[in-house]
Amino acid sequence: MNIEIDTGNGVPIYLQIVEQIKRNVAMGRLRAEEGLPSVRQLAVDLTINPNTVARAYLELEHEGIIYKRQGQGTFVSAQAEETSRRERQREAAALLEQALAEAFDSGMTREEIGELYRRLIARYGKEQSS
Amino acid sequence: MNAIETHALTRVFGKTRAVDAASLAVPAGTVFGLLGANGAGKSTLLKLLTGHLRPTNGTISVLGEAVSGPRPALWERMGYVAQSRYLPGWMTGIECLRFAGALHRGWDGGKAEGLARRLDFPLNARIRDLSRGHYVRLQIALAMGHNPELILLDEPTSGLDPVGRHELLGILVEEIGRRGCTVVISSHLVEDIERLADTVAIMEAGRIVACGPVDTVKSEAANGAATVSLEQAFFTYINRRQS
Repeated sequence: MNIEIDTGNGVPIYLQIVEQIKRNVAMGRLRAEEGLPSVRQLAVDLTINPNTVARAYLELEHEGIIYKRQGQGTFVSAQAEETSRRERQREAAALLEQALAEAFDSGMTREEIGELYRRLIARYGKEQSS
Repeated sequence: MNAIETHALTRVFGKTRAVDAASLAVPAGTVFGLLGANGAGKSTLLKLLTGHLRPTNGTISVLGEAVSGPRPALWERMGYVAQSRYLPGWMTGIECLRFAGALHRGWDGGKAEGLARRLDFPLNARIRDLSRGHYVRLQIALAMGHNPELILLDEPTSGLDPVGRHELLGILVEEIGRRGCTVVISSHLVEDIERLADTVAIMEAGRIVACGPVDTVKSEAANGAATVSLEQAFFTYINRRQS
């Protein structure tokens, strides 16, 4: 698992943890039923208040991404990957739409945008399959 | 329950109101950050809370006890990391730790000396020869050796190199997590406060100009706009007051 806290960007620290754990799940770095570090351990690793980590875990639990097993710790839930992936796809779709709005706004034509899109997707498609 | 409550707390030095009508509440088991420029009144406020200074006006309650001057019985229950040098220069670090052990009833010598060792502290050097970083490390061991319910730290990371700062913050995080004790930490380093504090108070010219949960203080400064960092929020509050 890979989490980095940025105190300069204005996003509450607990949300940064929530988002990055979801990202780790969506990217397969955290698998279903895999254990998460304890609240105390993650607080020490990230040098942040343990209450903040506890808040992030509570939020992830509410969203069904993780669950507590009595006396054993916190684990990634079975449906977490699907939930996280769907959320990431929604975010990606929103970003694509934003980029499209930006492109039209800059004066690009439908043909130019279509041409650019085909070039980009050909390139990414190659990278994905290689 | 609140570990600390002050009401209209004021301390005047000559013509200067070093702390001016400060009212605040620190819930037990939380970390309270005091943010302000040098000279904003943070150190004076902390010394009023420990009883090292007497208030000119207003009331203080710490761990359920009224404070208006030195209260040695209360010092058993709190740890204080001061900014100024007050420890006897002729003692060595280990002598100082054992001296403190003799004074405190609930002293955990193993913990204090273990902390000092972990912090790579020269136990046999005389205190007068210690660098700022080592002096702070010794104070940390002294402040935590008796497992206090409340720890007050005055600019503990100032003058530390990045490694020392990271170490010290790490030890604080462990302490907070292990016993759920209450911590008050002052700093002019916004990042320290943002990482550690549940609640933050921003001080300027003796007054508390903003106080609340860190994320609330940030969103109020943002005023409906996009998110801001605590640093941006800090300057927003300071500028609002000055304009």
